[in-house]
Amino acid sequence: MNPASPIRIQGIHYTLPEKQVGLEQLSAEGRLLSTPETMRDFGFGDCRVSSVPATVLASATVKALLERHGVEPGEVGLLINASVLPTSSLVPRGEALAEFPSGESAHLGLFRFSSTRIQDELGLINARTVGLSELGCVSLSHAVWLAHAVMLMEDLKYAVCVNADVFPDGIKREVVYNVCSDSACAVLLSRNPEGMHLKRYHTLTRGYYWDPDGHQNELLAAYFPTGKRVLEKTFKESGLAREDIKLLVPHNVSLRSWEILSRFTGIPLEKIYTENIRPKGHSVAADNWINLKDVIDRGLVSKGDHVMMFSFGLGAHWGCSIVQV
Amino acid sequence: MNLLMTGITGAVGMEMARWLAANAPRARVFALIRAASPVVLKARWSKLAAKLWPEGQRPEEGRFVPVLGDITRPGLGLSPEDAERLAGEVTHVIHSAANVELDAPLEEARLCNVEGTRHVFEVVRTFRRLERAAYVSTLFVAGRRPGLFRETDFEHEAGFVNPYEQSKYETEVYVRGLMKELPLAQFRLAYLIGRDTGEVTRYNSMHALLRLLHEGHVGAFPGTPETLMELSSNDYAAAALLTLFREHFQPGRTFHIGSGARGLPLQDFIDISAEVSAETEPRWRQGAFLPPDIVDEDTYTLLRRTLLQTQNKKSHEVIRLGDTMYGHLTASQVFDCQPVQELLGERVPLPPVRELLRDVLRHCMATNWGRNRS
Repeated sequence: MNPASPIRIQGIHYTLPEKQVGLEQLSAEGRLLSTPETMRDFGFGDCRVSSVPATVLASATVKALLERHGVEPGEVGLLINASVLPTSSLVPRGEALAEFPSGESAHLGLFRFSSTRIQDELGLINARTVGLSELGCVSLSHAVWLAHAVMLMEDLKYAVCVNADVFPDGIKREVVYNVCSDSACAVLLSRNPEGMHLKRYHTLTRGYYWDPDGHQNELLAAYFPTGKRVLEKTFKESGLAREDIKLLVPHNVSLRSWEILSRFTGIPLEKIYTENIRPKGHSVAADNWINLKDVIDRGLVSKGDHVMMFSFGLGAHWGCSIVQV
Repeated sequence: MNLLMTGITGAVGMEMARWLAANAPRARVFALIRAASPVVLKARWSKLAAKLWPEGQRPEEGRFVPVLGDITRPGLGLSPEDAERLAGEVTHVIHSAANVELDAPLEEARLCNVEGTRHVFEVVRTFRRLERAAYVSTLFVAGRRPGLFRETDFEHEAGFVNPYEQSKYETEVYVRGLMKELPLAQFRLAYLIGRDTGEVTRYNSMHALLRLLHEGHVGAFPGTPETLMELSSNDYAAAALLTLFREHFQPGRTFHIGSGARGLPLQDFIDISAEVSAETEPRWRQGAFLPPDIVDEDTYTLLRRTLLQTQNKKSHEVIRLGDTMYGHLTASQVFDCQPVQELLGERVPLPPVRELLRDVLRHCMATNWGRNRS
């Protein structure tokens, strides 16, 4: 990435549903594959469950973000809606939380896009909208990276990236040994020099793992060695060393996996912000940014500090970025 | 030399038969082979001989004499005629038959390895012309004992990595007792992975591990990059053992046959496996599969525990296999094979272990781990 880029991350806002569901209840509802004990041992506690569709969460979160930073809707030149679950990018009909269209109008239901609905609802009349999908848990980080590039290319003043995901009723909430929460998180990019600087985003896609069910065994074997290499490459490309990083801001996959990756990479666990895993669960693609906001708000990082954000998306994508606060 | 051999159908046994046919023209070999009947014995021997020697190169009739017997049975289940014939004719004995399954239940391993050896030497005691006898053991009787393991090292309390080596350790205790009354030496062998050509005659746990690694199922090894892996070829083990047995025999001595300090570092094992796998498997070339990392014991233990908590059967298979082998990596063992290497010198050179591993893995891939052999 261009080190002289004027694009900055100006703000983050997130929404977590208030409803919390414990592991025993998830298990009783058949929404776990492992036992509650195993999930607890892996570091999970409650997960958050939304009572409204993803598009509603996304819209409310973007609205709050823009208001907080005093951005007029008309000033936003780009909106990227980066949802992970295909159902999250479609606006359901009626009372459904999420649905894949069926019936006579199914073909039209496939075009009920959340990104355009948000543009309409919030009056983002000058925003070009993009729906970003098929990236799993790196969706929001990828969106920020793309928005950064498009803002430079198109000389935009503001861009907003949002991720919102709500698990449909009846779908397992345990995904490859991680307990998933519903959430929404929006990131505002601007040219305000006071914002955070995205200094590096290294991403790696390994298409062989497109089938997380069929290739899960190989994926489990490759996860840590690949993660280690992605992290090392990010350091190398950025010219920074482990000591230069104040915190590693993770996505909230299991604490156990972070304990192991910490050992693989030589980054001490104390330097990895894992406190949100138990109370908040794995918010799919929003974790890194939710956690980044939390560490800033809690004063765990200061202006000028470098943080690393690492995530892995089923499908399979590894993403690692370095942000200067 | 009238030699009684057990274990001729095993990896080192087959290679010893080849070596004897080529290098000991005056040796007569009685090969103890398990079979349901004399008819089956004959068929098994014909099949084995065809495997051992190309048509037209078979030893002349009578040099190899198949004998129906089973080491798990008292008296080896010999017929009275065979028992009498062996007792009157055999001058040399090499006992290499064993259950080499690393994950066999301990009682099963003991039945073949401890009791079987007891049965063999109870019969050997009746041999009126016995000059010398050899018991074939394994370097891995060292179990979890860390550091340098010498020929003169025997008892330890470090525990064992798998039931196989425990049973071999217990057998050694019995064999050392026998050394007081019989002209007997023991030969501890390295992990044999194939012939010098790369051909694999007996697939074992190491090949299973190579397969899982090749298929991208192995994410980590415990140890350090410098940890030595004690791998060798069937040819070297057979040639070294028989040369020592014939020319440097010392009753009561233990010989270490392996690479020792010239063994294969774990990092090289991984790199070579990855490099050769990439020759046929595009996932390696594309980077979807990556060479496993080498991690410390605590990290491996945590990873192991975690994978066992998952429902991934393949991961469990990797863990179970690792459980029968990795204890040697974490013990950072080095087997002292220098005395034998000095005795043998250039007459029996060590196989180049890197090339051996490459050729063995290529053979495994070409035959789909023995499944595609004609």
